[in-house]
Amino acid sequence: MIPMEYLSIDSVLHGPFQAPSQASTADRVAHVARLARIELRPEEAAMLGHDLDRILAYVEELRAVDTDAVEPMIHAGDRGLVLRQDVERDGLGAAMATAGAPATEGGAFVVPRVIG
Amino acid sequence: MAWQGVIGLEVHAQLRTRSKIFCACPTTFGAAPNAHTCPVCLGHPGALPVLNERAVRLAVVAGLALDCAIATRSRFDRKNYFYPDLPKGYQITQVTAPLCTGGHLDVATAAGVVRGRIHHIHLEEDAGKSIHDASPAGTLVDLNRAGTPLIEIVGEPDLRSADDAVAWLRELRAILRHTGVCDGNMEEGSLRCDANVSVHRPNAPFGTRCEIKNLNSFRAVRDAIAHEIERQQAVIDAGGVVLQQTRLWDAERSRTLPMRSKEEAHDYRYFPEPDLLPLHVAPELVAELRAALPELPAARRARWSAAWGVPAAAAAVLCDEPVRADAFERALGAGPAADLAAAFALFVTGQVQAAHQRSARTDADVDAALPVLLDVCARWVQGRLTNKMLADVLQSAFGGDAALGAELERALAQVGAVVTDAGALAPTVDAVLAEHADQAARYRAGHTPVLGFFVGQVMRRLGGRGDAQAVQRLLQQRLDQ
Amino acid sequence: MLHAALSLPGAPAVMGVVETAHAIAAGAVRASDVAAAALARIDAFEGDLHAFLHVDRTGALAAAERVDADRRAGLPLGPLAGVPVHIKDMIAVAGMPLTAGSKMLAGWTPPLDATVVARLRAAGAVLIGKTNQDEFAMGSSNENSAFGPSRNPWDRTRVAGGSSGGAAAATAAGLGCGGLGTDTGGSVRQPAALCGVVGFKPTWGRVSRAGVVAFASSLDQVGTLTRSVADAAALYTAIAGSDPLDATSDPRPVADCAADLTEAKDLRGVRLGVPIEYLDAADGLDAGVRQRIEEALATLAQRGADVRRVSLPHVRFGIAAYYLVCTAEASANLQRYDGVRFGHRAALAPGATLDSLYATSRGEGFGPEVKRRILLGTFALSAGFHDAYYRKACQVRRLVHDDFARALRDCDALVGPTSPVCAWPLGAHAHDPLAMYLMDIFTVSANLAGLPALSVPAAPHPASALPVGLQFVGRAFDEASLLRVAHAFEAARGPCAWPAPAARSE
Repeated sequence: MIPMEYLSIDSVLHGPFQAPSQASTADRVAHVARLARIELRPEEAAMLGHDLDRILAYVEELRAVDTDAVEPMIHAGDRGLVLRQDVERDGLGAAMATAGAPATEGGAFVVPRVIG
Repeated sequence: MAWQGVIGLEVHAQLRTRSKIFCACPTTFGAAPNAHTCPVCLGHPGALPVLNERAVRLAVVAGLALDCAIATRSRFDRKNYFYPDLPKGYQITQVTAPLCTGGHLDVATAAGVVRGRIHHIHLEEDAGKSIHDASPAGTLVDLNRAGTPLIEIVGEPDLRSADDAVAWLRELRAILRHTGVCDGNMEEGSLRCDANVSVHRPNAPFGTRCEIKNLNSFRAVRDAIAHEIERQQAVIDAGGVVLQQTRLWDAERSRTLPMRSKEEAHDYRYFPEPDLLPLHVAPELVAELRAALPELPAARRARWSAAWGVPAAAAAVLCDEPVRADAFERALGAGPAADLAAAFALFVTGQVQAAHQRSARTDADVDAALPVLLDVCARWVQGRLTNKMLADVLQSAFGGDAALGAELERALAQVGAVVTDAGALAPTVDAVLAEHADQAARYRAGHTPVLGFFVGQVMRRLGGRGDAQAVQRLLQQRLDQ
Repeated sequence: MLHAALSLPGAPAVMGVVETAHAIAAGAVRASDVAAAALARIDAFEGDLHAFLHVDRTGALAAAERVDADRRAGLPLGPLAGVPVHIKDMIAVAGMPLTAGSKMLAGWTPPLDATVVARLRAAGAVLIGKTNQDEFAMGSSNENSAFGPSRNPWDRTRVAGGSSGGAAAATAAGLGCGGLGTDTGGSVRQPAALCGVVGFKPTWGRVSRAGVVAFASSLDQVGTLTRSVADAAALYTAIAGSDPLDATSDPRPVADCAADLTEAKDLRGVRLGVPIEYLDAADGLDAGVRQRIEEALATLAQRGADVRRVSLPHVRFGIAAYYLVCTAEASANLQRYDGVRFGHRAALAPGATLDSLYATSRGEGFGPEVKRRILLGTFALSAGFHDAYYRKACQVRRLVHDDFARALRDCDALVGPTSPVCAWPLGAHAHDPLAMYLMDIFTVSANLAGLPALSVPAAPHPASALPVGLQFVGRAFDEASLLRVAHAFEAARGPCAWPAPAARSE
């Protein structure tokens, strides 16, 4: 079996990317909340920021584990992917596809206008 | 020292599968909005991706055709971002361990052979479509295209000019078409190209690159790269600094413009896709696909050149589209017509293509008519059709309503045979000479170019059906008498 | 002691899965009476327990009548014909609303059955409703349900556990014969332990996840909540096996575990490893729980098992690794809840931007624990932190997995407590997420390693008389052995008492 290395994402992909300042708890929460598209009320942001700090302090214990040369484990087992044959089948159709949607027009979903 | 452009292309090619990459919805283009969707490509809660086997085979074929190494184990990753046409909020792609790595594609250019290396080829799913200007209610989202299988072919920055880039892309498209991987239709978006462009002085490090998107024709590729190189040179010459940006090609105004920078646009938070186990590709499958690899366009062109002397430019045009190239070979067969191959190639890429472009006929119609066109070509080459007759035949046939082959047969019958017999030509020649006795006198006084005038007059009276050489011979004979 | 509930016309409903199926097949009881009894018990106790988010009265009775009609017509009956079961609200049942315990999905009805549901239907089971859960299965107490928590049938002032708390409470109270839950870090086993029922999580890949709302894909597995190991085997056998709609489902054939449970309750020759990290060296393990687990180990030894100590040196990092992996995956899995195609969309002023649609809809739709985990997972994957958090956690996950693989080379199964404590009072840890996370200390590792695990009631707590769960962890894809061992323990332990929810609620 040829090992499939899961190389560092940070060094390979993020290269020139500069992580925004996360100097303070508030900065960190604001940054990840923006990435995750979740609006937080100020008191909520304060509470979650406090929790995040505690949890991150707790998971610091992982640093003590020597993981040099340990291949990250993504799935249990090492079996290969089972594939499907290239057979087409009708889907739900537009009416069912959009049945639960908050806003639709002519079978399409509607969102606030995106410019560019 | 002059500035030099440095270009690497990233090409997205839609794989020719019947169903989507992770679900069984059809990949047909042009259906009503969301007609071809299911819980998987709608990103419903609980829906899971199941990889299409044919998509894997086609991606491996592309890798083999481009001399890549095929990974026996590769992996899918999630690329996370929010956009309405990305239903799951992430795109399933391959980042940490792609299916094909390395490889290269050589193209012949005026300056010699240019090698464009390939960094890797990976499988991924396409996004849906956002339609911005159709409704006052807002942007409309159609997910029919979401989940269409793509490969992304990531080229190294080995190309040095806009023309090289176009030549490389054209050759890539021919390969993808010959191998049945992709139909290469840039108008419908089945082949899409982004270009990474920077400039530097030879032997200096590469400059900062910009990625140019929205290149949906060869012309756009050429013009956008040429303009971007000029733009970057101008920035540097004015003492400025090129910023790393994603820019959009505006074909109408012939310029590239920076895309509105999206906040955190870079942080895609990639991680391995937990819903898909590693993709194992058996060496036996790779061997099987390698053995079944069809002749690639470069080899085909070389064979045509060696066997038939088909000129390179005509061969390149014909081999752009394997269906055309196959029809060409079929029409030619293995028989005596092979002697005609070079002339036929020039004929098809010259007169026939010109007539085709003026008409509304489909490629398939023309391809099906190639055997009759070969007959037309043979008659013309052998002098059984004059240039005028040929032009009439093509114009009449391409303008007709029936299949091109049938129209050609009809037009050939109508145009009749060329008149070569001196006896049949004599009355017309004599009549012309009699009418233009003054010109005849001039000829006899040594103004030999007047012969051309007489030929023209005779041909006109014969409706272009006279054999030009026979007419000329007879005229000279009479005048020299 | 049988309480008033059994005098309701629902007496048959407190029978187990296997017993009910046999009784219906034999014509001793009609499926429609069984369904009516289950619904009557729900009527009697649901106000007290809040175990359900949706009860499908009409559908259940119609399905039961079809079973009766089939039987009258002499048609073959499925192995679960007429057995009333409940489905955790993470799992899609076509035509029943699915919320996953979240306001985000309120009003959403999935168009298709999950594979496990389709298989239950095919086996003849009668689906009575959707059980309550922590929002998106994120929680260990059911208090994170957007619709209010389930309460523990043994003491309604206490939590039912989570996240499949509704399923555990319903099963303990006899609201249906049993049901399906999902287990990402203990969400089937821990509530089973706290409610005194059997919770079984098969090997990752053994049961299809198609149609099951994803929390953390590489950890999620559908499991069963039942009143006996034999019942667990019966439901498991019906739902297990590869599925073309789930590429992570395993192609290996599934043994008929229900038939496989022999009457022999002998454990001679069975080697059981007790991880010292789960007992002797476990921090925070309640003394009464420890006592009951040690007694259970003695019982196992008496039955002939070779009970020995083993060490899993990396499991103490399990919680940290688990909460990074599961939140990272969840942060991506929950991105589809964006107010575009289904679910909650914020009411916005005209001219609002797309980003504000996303942020407001998600801000309104998700509860605090879901937000907390999305933020943590987003952070763990973000540029500059990916390697130090997410990737590191995946590496530690490998070490945990390898610890189990080593231990299970010399042992047939591992055994220890399911939860460090019994059911705690509602609200006790509501404002301390980290303390809540630590409740999963004994369960998360089986998910990290992908192994099958099962919680079976031991003797009740010596002081509180609340249920105590004994956990077995087995070898990958050897559910049959795990069920045999648990079945033998159950027989040695003797019959369980069942709660009297109504009496406690007065």
